[in-house]
Amino acid sequence: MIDIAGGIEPDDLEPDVLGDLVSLYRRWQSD
Amino acid sequence: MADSDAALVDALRAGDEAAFVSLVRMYHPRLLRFAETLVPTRAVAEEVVQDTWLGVVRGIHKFEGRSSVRTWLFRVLVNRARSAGAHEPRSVPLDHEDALEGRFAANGHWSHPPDAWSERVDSKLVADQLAKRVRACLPQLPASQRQVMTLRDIEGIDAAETCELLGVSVANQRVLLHRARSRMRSILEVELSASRRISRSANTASNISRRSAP
Repeated sequence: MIDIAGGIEPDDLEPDVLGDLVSLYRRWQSD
Repeated sequence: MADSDAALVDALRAGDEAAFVSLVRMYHPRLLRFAETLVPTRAVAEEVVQDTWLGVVRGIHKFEGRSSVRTWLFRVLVNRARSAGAHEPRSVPLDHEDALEGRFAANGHWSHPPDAWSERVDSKLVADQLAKRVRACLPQLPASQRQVMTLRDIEGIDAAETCELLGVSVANQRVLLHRARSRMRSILEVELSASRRISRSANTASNISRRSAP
């Protein structure tokens, strides 16, 4: 079987997107 | 629940930010790609995925582990997308022009199962390249086919969970997956024959210039 998912990079995520989500996470945790 | 999922869930419940970051790194791009098949614009898809993460953080205490974390994430996403106005899935008619006639028996099972198109690829390199092309060509499929192919062939979610996530019947899921794979195969065949033509033209041009060189 071809592993079509293989090669999807976990780091295929822009740093500012991750930063925004971490900020939101901290806010959600403190709510 | 798998051990790795159980550890992740425990960490998330304990408010472990590193566990959240790890989950986001692993799934955010995949959730976003899938969200784009459910809602009309990229902007709405981004909102839906952000809303999904909120749902995950708020809902992790209610997660019972009856499915994998991955399936649960996609379930939260689908629910959030529906709240954001995603189109409800439609039933797929089993007729017409796409050469499916005779492929299914009255009970909805294959009359003659299709060849497993991916099993003839033995070279890892070829398989990796093909997998990349499949992912790159996915946007050329209609949304409903893309949804099923993404969940089944990319995420590896089983048929029953795919039906539940998308709210389609087993028969419809099967038809959508078959259509998606057939269409993908056609797209890849066209690409392959085009690249062979280009390669042949380049070889011919190279031979001519070699022969005409002084």
